[in-house]
Amino acid sequence: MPQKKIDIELRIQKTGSVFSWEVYLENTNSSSRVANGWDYDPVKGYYYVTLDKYPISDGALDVFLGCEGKQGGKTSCAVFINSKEQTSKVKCNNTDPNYGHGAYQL
Amino acid sequence: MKQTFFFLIVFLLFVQDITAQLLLENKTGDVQFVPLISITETQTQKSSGIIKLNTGDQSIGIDYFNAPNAIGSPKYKFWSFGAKAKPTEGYASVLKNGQFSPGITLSGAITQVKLFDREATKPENNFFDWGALYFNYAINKYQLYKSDTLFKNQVYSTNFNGLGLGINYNILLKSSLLISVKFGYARKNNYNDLNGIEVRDTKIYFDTASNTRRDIITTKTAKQGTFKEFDSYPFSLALTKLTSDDPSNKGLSFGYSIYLNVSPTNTDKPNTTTGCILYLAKMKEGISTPTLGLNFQFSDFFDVNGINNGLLKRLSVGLTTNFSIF
Repeated sequence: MPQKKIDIELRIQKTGSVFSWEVYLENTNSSSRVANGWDYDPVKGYYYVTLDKYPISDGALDVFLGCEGKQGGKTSCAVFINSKEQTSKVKCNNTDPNYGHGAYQL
Repeated sequence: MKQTFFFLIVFLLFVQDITAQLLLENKTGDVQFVPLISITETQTQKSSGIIKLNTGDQSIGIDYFNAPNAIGSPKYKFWSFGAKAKPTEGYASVLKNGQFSPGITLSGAITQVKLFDREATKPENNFFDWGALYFNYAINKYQLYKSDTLFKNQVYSTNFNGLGLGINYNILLKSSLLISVKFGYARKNNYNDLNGIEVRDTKIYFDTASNTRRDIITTKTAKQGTFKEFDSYPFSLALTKLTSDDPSNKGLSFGYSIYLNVSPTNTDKPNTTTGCILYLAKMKEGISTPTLGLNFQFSDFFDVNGINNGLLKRLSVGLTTNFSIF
């Protein structure tokens, strides 16, 4: 399958005491973590990162979201592909055993 | 009594505006653990501040946190600076006698989040840790009374400067139980253990023309006894039950912290202080925030000083709270 390049924006919102969080694209290898480019919108209250021309090798974008912290704390990630918000968000609670996962068909 | 009531009213007015992260102090104003500040509710998202009130040592203070690289990185560092001020004789002496002897403590810490915990957040291993190197420096002025000296020198002031530094390590188990260990060095004094007294000086004037005697009375609060400074090597262990941040919690949640402090010194037998802080928390902007804490503390739990006055007489009770400002 030919490689596609898409524009991605991720918006993370935290609720409660989340002490540590991370986002991966495609898989949960450490090299796939979205570690740089994050900023914060103080008006809307979310962290965001934009990834232009991001290469996708299959027909879907996989987003993984993880967090740790106090009981009751959680995170959610809104995914925008080519400036279009996807209908479902990726969600993760601090106490969830595994990463929250969303697969978005291109 | 009137002064205490006034102070409590001021304190309760502050309580109305609490929005805080968890930060608990004991009766003498020592932080039980270096808090892990979540940067969720700050405006810049890289820094945060807390104002602290503690009726135990009657102090008001501020802590400032900065985590420049925390966004999107599960393993990160943050640093903090703090300052705390109090009248060393308490507010009653300020309000009643107009007497003010300042006590200031400056503090700082560098904290590493995830020391032994693996970097990835999942799969969940119910373990999360952080550790800090901390320092503090206290500058206090005290009023003391000494009876076996010249009359004019009996009430005198003394200054105390004390450095503290050490290591703090914290483990969060199952997102709700916090174990905290702290040890290090601190220059201390015995001011809090001395007996508080009130010194009243009366000057008498007689006016022959009106046949009137006038008494001018000035009052000072001081402490009586031998003031000593010493090196100590404090060790603290605390177990804290955190309240849940579940947004469906509409009412008050109950949490507690049980702690043990041992402070061997170069002059005295190791003094063990133990106690618990019971606190109520309510949801505020998505965070379960301690609104009011009641601190029960037993000083010299094992009576190593041989005072033999019974454990209940070594019990002290105080209120503690805090709230964020940024």
